Amino acid sequence: MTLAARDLRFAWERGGPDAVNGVSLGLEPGELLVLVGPNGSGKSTLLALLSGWLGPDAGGVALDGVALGRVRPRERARRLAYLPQRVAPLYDLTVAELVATGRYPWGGTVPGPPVDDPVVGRALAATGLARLAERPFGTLSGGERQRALLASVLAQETRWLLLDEPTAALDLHHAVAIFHLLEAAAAEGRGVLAVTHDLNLAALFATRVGLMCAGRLEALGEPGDVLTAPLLERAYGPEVLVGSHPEAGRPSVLPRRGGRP
Amino acid sequence: MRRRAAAVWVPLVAAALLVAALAPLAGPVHVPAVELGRALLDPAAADPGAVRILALRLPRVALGLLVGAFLALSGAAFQTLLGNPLATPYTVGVAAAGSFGAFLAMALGTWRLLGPAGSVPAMALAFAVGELALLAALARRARWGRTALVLAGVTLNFLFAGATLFVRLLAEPFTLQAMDRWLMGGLDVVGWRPVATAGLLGLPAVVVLLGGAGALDQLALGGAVAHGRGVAVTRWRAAVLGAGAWLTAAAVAQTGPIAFVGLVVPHAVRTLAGASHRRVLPASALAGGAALAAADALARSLRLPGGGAELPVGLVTALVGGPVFLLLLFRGVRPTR
Repeated sequence: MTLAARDLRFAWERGGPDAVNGVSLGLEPGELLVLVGPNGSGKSTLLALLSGWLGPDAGGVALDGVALGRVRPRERARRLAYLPQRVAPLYDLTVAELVATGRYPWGGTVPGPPVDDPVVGRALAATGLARLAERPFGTLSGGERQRALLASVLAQETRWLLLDEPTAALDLHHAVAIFHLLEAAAAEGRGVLAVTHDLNLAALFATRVGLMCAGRLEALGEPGDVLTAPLLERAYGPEVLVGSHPEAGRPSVLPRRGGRP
Repeated sequence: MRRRAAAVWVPLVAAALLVAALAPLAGPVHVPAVELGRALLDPAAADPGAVRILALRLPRVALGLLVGAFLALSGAAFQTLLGNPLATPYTVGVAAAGSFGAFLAMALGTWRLLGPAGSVPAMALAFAVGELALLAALARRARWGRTALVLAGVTLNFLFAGATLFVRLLAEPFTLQAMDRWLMGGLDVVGWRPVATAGLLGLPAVVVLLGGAGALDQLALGGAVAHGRGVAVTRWRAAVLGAGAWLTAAAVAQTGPIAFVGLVVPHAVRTLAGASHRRVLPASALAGGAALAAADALARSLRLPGGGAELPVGLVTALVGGPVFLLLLFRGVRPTR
């Protein structure tokens, strides 16, 4: 059982530069693979390709050994969940209603997920949102919104999770809380692939780190092997300083003031 | 949850039943309710005048309920499909194309050449469905992207609206009044045929839209989320566009483009029923039918000064619907969005 990408290639415009350029990757159950890389390096595009929302120009994605395009949408969504970077609900759902939308692939042919599904209750509890269940999504803070969206994806009960910047715009405390959730999801045997810009969170929580740069997967491996000064300088330029986390012993990345005026 | 469901359905069903029961009483000629009741239950023994009045009013009430339901249902679905709260059944140009067909029929007298196929409703339906086919072809080229869909629809809308006015410009003066009344929209039909035509045409599209409630809930979260949840996004966008536009075509062909019902009713319903399409779609149909039939009862009761002409129901829905919409918008508006 893997979620495997083979030599993926995708350009947004015909004849334009490749946003994703020959990426191969295998996600295993039980791991939290964190994808890092500078803006525009192709992380979100890669996630969209892995989810099937975008179709690759070349290469392919296999879900548990079957080409992704051959899996029926509902069956795919029972195994593979995808949280895109920006989610703007058109109508103001309550938190419980939003989380219940994650049950859609498990519903029968009659439309609509029930809000009182026990799985919804568990997802709310796991993300610490039980108290806010009846609050309109639009009245939540940024951190609560991220947690509610994550809860809706957890409620989908999939083996594979693709999360595009689940900690964007979150403070340290809430970002750490989200990564604890992802760690727990991986410990349950799910395969989690999350994008983040926070190299230190990646270093602390990831079982593997993928470093993307200009559409390519420059490095993939344990945090200590990927988050190194030479590799990070290639991706981000010379303004990074790599040390060691005082407690965890994992890499710790600091910015440099740099030489430019 | 159960009580909230009752709080949605009880008032709406009651309102629809009440309108269906009371609307036949409204009209320029006063006929006592007892006489109309007798005409309905035992026509042979009733006053022939009452029987004739009932035969005029019942199809109108039925058409109002039907067309109001179609327009509100289609409007609710389009607001989600196009991701725009201002979307109406007419946004993507079906109604404008229908009006163009109707104006051609009136200007050229196509029924003289084509028989029933050249009648005003048939020409309106043909052009509305033709526009839908064109729009679907354009949308397919743009891979059913939401923005492309809106822009293509709005552009076709303006094109056909312009062409419609051009036909009006060239038309003989004696057809102008009929054209203007068409554009305002009216339920002044005779007999059951228009009701049956609209109903039979629209029914499959109603089934498609109500069956798509769950997919629409997901599409309201954006295409990428809906895809991740297992919605076949392209297929559902095509289905909702096709069904909503088809429903609109079926309605507009009989009545002309009646304003505001398809915009206001879904918004009003969402304040009552929340955002779930399982509730919003059927509730919009109920409320839309009741609202249009009630507006038509009002239109029939009012007389224009200086003549026997009746107020077009499209004017009533616009003049009443506009203020109601503003009230809805600004009552309890919060600074958050």
